Amino acid sequence: MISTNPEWDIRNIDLAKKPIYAFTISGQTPIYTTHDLTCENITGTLPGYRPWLKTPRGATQSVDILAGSSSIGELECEIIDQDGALRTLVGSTDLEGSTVTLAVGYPGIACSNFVVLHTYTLYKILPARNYTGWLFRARDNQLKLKRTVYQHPNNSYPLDESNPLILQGTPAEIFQALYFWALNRPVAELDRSILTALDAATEGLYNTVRPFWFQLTEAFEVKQFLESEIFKPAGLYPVIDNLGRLSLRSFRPPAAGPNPVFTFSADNMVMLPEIDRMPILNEIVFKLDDYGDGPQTQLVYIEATSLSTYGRAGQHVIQSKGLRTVLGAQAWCEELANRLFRRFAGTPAALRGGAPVLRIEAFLLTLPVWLGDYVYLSHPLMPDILTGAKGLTNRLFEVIDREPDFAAGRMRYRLLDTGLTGLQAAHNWAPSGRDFVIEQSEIY
Amino acid sequence: MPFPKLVYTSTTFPFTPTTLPFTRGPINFSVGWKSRLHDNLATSGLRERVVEAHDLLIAFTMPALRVADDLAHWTAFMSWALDGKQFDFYPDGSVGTYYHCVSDDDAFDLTRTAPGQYSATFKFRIVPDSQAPGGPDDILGAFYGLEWML
Repeated sequence: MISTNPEWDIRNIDLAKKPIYAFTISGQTPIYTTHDLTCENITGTLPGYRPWLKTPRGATQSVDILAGSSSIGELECEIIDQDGALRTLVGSTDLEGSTVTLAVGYPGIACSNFVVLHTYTLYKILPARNYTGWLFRARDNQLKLKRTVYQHPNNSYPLDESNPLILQGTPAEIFQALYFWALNRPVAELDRSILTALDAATEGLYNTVRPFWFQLTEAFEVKQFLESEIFKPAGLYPVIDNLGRLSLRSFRPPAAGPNPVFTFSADNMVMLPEIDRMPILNEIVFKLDDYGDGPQTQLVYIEATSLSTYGRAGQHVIQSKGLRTVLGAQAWCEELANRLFRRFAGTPAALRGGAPVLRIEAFLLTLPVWLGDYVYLSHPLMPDILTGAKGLTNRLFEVIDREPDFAAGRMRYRLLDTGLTGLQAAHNWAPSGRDFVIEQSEIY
Repeated sequence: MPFPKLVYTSTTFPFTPTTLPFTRGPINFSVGWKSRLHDNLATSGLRERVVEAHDLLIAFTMPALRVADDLAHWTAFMSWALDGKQFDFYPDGSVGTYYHCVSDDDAFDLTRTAPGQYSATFKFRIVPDSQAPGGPDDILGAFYGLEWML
């Protein structure tokens, strides 16, 4: 969930609202807004502004949890050109590559309390149809991961057998090593608090096993490498936050248990949730120990109950050149396979199929909900496919697709059932923590 | 009752304001809000209304624009307004209250009503800036010369 503030929150939850959007191009004044800030009683020191912005759609982002990948969000803002002012700006200034932000506020709030929705990088500026305005297109910062690394960051010589790039550590450590050293990007572009939390001893993800060790001897594209070689084998996926920072989410819930940030209900959804199922996954193949001549080890995990119920379903192949048995990768693979089966194999029996996935449309007031968030869903009319009862209360889902439509004043989401509803976390730390119950708990 | 007037800026040097006084009065003078909004209706019946804006629109008819009289002035004005340019509309030409407007028309259609006399309808959109009125009643009050009541 994105950070907001009390003044903004009060307006946002109001059922009658007038959102004001502001589009900023770094290094440029004025900013462009959908409304006249003075007329809307925005307080504080107002920046120079022009109320020429059309309400944009917003940028969609979705994740593929099983592939460890995330789509690159694209934002398009159309600004009306008054008296050729933008034509002059676009024709005389290098704006491509600038950081742009889209923020939203409400009448009467302080200018400083506008909430940033997207922080993207401008890559294309085109005249709008009929030349009445200009389209500013921007993409999220994953674009910076699309670069190919062909030089060793330490000596700038090409990567080859005699000059390999060695990477070792947790996924978050390798991610940061590549981002800072190989791509030479600034620290501020990563959400380091989340990355640090993933590596924390209290999370227990890498206390006993750090299974990755890479020896890279040829050029590679960073995004593809991270997603296929590290995130997918580690059960992680990348997320861009509203400030444009790259972050990671683990499909394993936090040790202290998932923390639902919002409850979707019949009071804020504008349609009955559309229910679908993820494919059944009951066979997972890990290929590891690749020392340059192909994977030397293959581990096959089969979920017997699922197999006997559904027959052979999807086979999930995870192959990484960095997974090493000597570093404990086999234990790592077994742990990951267990977690994938628990969520996607169609067991326990009551599930009777793949993990439920919902498509919902909701009020604009839900816009702080972000990709990767845990949310509750309650609905009196929705069938509970686990029990056959009518109605669902506080079932725990994970947001895997977020599609704003600010122009229509509505939000769309895809929610993936976590299978964690009602389960207790393995532990609680102080002050009233109960004992460790890791052996019995499915959340740790 | 005083007639309204329009003021727009000449496109040629020295860019002096051009005033278009209404030689004869308008008829069917109407004002209203046209809202751009989106309603989200929840399953439970709760409604979220997302408002983009309440646009203030003015419409009126000039029933008697005469050749060799005021028609040339209106033609010059519409040449300006149809270009999308902004002008000032004074509901009561004898006082200082005015609003920034743009034309909402995409045509200047003249309908013959008598020899040498034509009528035309006009639709203005008030620019939502600090000069804009609070609502339709403000405009009508000014139009009917009731500013002292506002």
